[in-house]
Amino acid sequence: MVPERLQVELAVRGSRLRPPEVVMRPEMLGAARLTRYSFSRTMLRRAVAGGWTACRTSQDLDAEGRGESVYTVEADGHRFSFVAFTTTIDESAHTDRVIAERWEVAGVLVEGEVTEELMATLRVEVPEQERGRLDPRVLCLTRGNRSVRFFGYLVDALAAGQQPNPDRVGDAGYILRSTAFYANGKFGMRSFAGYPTDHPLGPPYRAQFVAAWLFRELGYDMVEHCARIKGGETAVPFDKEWRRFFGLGNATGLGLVPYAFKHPRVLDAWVGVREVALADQRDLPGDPTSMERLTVWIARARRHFATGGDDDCHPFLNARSLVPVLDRIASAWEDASTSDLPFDALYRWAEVDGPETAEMVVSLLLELHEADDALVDEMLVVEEHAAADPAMTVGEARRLLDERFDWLADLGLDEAKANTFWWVVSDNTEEPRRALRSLLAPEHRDVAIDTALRLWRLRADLVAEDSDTPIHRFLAERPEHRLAVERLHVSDRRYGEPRDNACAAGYLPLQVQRFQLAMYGMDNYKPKSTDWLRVTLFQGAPRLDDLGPDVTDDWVLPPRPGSPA
Amino acid sequence: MVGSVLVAPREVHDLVFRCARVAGCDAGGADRTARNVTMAEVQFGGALAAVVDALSFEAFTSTWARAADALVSAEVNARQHGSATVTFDPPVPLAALAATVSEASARGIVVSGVPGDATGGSEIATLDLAPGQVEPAADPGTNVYRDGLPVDRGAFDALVEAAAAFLVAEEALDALEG
Repeated sequence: MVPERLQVELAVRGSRLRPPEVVMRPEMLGAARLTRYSFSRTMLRRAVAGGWTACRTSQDLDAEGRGESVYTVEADGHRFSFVAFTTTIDESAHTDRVIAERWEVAGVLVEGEVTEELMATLRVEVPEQERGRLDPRVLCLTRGNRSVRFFGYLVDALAAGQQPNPDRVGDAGYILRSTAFYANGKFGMRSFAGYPTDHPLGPPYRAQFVAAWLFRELGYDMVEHCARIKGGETAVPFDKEWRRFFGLGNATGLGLVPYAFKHPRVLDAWVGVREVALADQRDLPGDPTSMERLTVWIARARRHFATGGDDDCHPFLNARSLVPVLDRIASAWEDASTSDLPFDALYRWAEVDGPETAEMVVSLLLELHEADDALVDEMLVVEEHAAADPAMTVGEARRLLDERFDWLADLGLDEAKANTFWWVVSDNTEEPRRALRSLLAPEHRDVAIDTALRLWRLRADLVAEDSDTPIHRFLAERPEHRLAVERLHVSDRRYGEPRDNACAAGYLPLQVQRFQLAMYGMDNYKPKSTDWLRVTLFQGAPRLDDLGPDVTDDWVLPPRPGSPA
Repeated sequence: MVGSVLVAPREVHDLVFRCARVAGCDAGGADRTARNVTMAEVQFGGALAAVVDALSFEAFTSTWARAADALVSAEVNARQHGSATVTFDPPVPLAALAATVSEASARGIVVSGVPGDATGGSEIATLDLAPGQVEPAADPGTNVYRDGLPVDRGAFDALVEAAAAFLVAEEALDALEG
């Protein structure tokens, strides 16, 4: 069997990598930030490198922005269209939860021609979202709402011939707020495995991020369209300062958590890509150019966060609270600059300072790192399923448990509070939720992300077994351990397991959610409870018209319009 | 196929998994059942109807699980002793075994006894296993991951209905949270 590319790259770096006991700590995952290797960034770099073109091909909206829009991307000989249906709903019906029955925007990403026959189907099925039925021409299904606070204000400002007041909208960062981006065979859409290896949307999550980028464009177009209708000749478009500032909002709930716990090899790839880059960057001596670039990035991040909000973002730091973190980083960088390995010295200091500092430094250091994006895409491709060998002995299983899951002993898994929650799928559009075990019995309806508990029980039950007993015989007698044995086998990667128990009383979903959102390329993490948060995607990113060879990748952390340089 | 619906293979897996959970399988057993059925449907067709029948007789936790266990045990015997035969009494549909057969093949065990014209619903009574050169599975002739998998609409709808029991009522969950 040929080892996956990421495993080869990790093996080469060996002890230069951060250990999983540092990286996979919930506090560290919960401090992750978007990096150069987040999906939004790699998608746009690949689009520029591949000479993709994108435009709005049709739009038919009324004065309130209700109607149909189609955006097209030409990529490496393939045509993709984002088809969006927009309407308005009463403010009282706005909700970010997936259980909402109506959305102001419903869209799909389609490959190939959008024929009238397909359009007729989409008009019926797409607004239905989870209740609709799609086919393999459709790659991604999404939806969202307008920002209640800002959409109307932005329309009014532009209609009056004025640009927005930064104090009114500067820390919002978005016009439309999305929720789910369904793909990979859901509701009849194309399976991820159905993309050929050379397909431009073949890398993981590429289709979703093309859809998200076009979704963001729709927000700008809707505001400018409504402003033109309302203001007539007085109306103006967003000016140069504002035309890239808004990203796409997103609201994210518990649905991310089961994914993280059920896909250890995917999680390993997401973490591994960052860690390979970090190890390389830390290993470099400081040359004047790259050292100056880091100084500039630190200042840029400070400027970005200094003009952000001061909302309560517990347990995370809000934008303003990140300013002293960046001041400490700037000071530490001055000291580290004299070291033989200045980037490594800065990181070592940051890890001691705390998770928010460490992960801020990771994101800044990775801005200096320039990997081959084709290699990054390749490193993200993993074979998820690997059947355990039934001839494996109990003794071998015990050895693997000790080797791969020794950290379970630190989680207090014998305590009653370790088994407080079970995870459930609600009958309302299949929203994942948690339920207290003391109030509702699972009755075989639990989503099996109790990985830590299952492996801990397996460990206990293997004690009484003869070491030479083949595992298939043990499983025939104890089928409740099958999932744990399969996990033991497939969890052969460095960064596959969050070192946490998703069923514990004190479990905080926000931490693994933040890691996933950071990997997507989201920022501006604003928790609304322990279970869900709002974020921003593509803030500062190039627009469709910008695509071209001159587009650079340094669009993140944009300054708020009107803020001092 | 008359009365067919185009689905993604993962939809088959997800539905069968939930049906198997509701029928009493633990998550690991349900996943094995779902992988067996999905592979049978992709390679042979006709597996979903077998699942609908199995639901009626609560077979997932008994005959289907025992059959897959017996096949795995025979594989280990064949690796140790050069050959083995596994007998299913009562016979089980190929839908209960397809992925388990494939996994044994991936470990270098030739599994004989699946009829050339089998469907996922074909009853299998005996399989012979021996180490050897495994022939690659027949090309289904279409990329079901790219183009979709046509399945029996009636069986698919029946699975959708049965799988719904895996979900918990939103009202009940809201009530728990006060």
